[in-house]
Amino acid sequence: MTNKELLLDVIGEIDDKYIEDVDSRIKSTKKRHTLTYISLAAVFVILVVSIAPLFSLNPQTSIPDDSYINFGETTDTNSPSENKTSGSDDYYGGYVGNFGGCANYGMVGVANGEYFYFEIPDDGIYRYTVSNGYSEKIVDMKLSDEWIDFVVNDYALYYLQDDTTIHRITHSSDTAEKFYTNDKIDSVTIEPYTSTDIKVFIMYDNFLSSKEVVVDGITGEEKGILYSYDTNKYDEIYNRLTQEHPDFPSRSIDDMVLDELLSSLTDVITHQLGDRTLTLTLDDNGGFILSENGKILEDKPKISGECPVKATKDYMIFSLGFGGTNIDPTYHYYIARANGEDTRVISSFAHSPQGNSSFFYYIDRDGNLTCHDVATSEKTILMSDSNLVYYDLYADEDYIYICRYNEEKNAKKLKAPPVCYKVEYDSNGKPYNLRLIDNNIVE
Amino acid sequence: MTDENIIKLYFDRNEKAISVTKIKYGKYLYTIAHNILHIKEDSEESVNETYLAAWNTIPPKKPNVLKAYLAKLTRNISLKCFRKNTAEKRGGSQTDLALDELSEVFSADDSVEETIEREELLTIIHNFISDLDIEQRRIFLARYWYLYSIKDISKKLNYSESKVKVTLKRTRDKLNEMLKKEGLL
Repeated sequence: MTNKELLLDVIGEIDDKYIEDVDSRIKSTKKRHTLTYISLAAVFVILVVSIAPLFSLNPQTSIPDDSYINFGETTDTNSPSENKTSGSDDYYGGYVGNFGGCANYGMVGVANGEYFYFEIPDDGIYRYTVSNGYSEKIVDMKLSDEWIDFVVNDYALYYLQDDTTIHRITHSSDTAEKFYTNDKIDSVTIEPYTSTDIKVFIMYDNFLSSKEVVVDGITGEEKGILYSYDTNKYDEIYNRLTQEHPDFPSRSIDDMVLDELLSSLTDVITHQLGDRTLTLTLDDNGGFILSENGKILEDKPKISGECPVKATKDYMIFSLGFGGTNIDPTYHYYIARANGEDTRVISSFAHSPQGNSSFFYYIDRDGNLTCHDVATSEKTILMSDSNLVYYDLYADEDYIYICRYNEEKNAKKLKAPPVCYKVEYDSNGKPYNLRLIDNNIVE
Repeated sequence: MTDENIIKLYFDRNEKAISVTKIKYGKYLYTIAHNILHIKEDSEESVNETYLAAWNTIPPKKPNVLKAYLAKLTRNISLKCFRKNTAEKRGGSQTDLALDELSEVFSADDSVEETIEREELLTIIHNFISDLDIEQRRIFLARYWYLYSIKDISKKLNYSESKVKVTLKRTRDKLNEMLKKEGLL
């Protein structure tokens, strides 16, 4: 073994905590653009036996069949977002609650101009109320917790403090309630989905089977199955093929089972708004081809997952992740706009639409906090500081929160609390300035 | 399922341990293997060997962090497989490229055989990595632990490719200085 090989070997023996740290950082970044399990199945040989990812963003489209997911009206009458005027025409099909990676203040969630949630490890989850500038701890961590998984949507905070039960605290309440559990569940994880729904991944049958479902964040009702994995189904096909092909090696049989299971997948995901249809079609390589109203986009971006979408009467904006390679080989994230006539990539910086469907915000690689006008593609720099490249940004239509990565030396001692700004609009209704509201929302 | 419960299944010699490990960590382990081997079948084989290694080593081992333990097994198994596969012919894989980059660290001729004591180097690397700032450490380990490409690191950690390259170069230079200071070069 040469010295360089020895060095590579020895690096492999470093303390576990450093491996975990890199992994968690990669995960926190990746989480902002969720892969569907269709592509996971194609890439990682997860076996999927049923999937019905047919989405409708059109509130007029009512599809009662259980195999469909109909978002229906997106704003609950009890939701705090009800009174907001600027967002009242929006149909959210994407992430409303946001993920974050703000080091000491993890897993950040914005809830429609009213609340901002953040987590302090070994302490708890806090809710910042913009109107009174007060942060209150609403979930206490147990001794065994370092982080708690939580998501936020327009209606509530949802969190896990054990492996099998989702708890909920609505925005207007301080009281936690058991929201979702089942005797048969062995393990559960959560992700945000729409303004009022959440995505729940469940393992059951002694961890041998699993499924991912959309759960109504208000009623707790299961609205549809996105993905399921059933060991029995696999065994059934495997046994049949083994009998049909007794001479085949087991690896070949495995591949055949996979092919058979994959062939049963639904390969089209549809987002609909009025008479406009945005379609993601699974191709042979496990990616998706994006088209609108049956026309393939000029740029033909392939994406490997369902895309976060926000839409109004006039536009849909959505992010494309993981390799629209012929648009720009360097960047892998795009924001695209669709207005019924043209659909095009308008930004290659942002991971997902932070903001609303009229304006979204991002920090570019030079440290410019930029507002992007969806309708005109006009960009306005609202703040500029080279240090901003170390910040994550979370926004709705009224407020922007920025939070520094904890990437400096002696990081454990660094406290970099999220800072809150209010977006100020000019007489034409365009953002032109940020007003500092709170430079330390923790205290 | 918590890692603690999975480890309990291993200790109970319950074969569900492997199924659960596969479901919970299979994708992650495959990524590590594939970063090194770049061949689907070999990567799957390495991951399968990881399950077997876990089954054979737990107990007596009781990992503090199951995920990291499995990751280390996969990395070691995959690197062994890589060496075996490419003993005669080497191409432009990330592992080759990473090895080429690491050869910069050694100013002396590194082509013949191991000249540095493993334990001594391990201690130095441990200190070196713990002294790096977080950003440098993440980029360094993403490259030389996970063997991600520069492009992938840029994407996964949200840095520009040039920043990743510059950081890696500076970190390697720093390691070279440290090895000199410790009298290993």
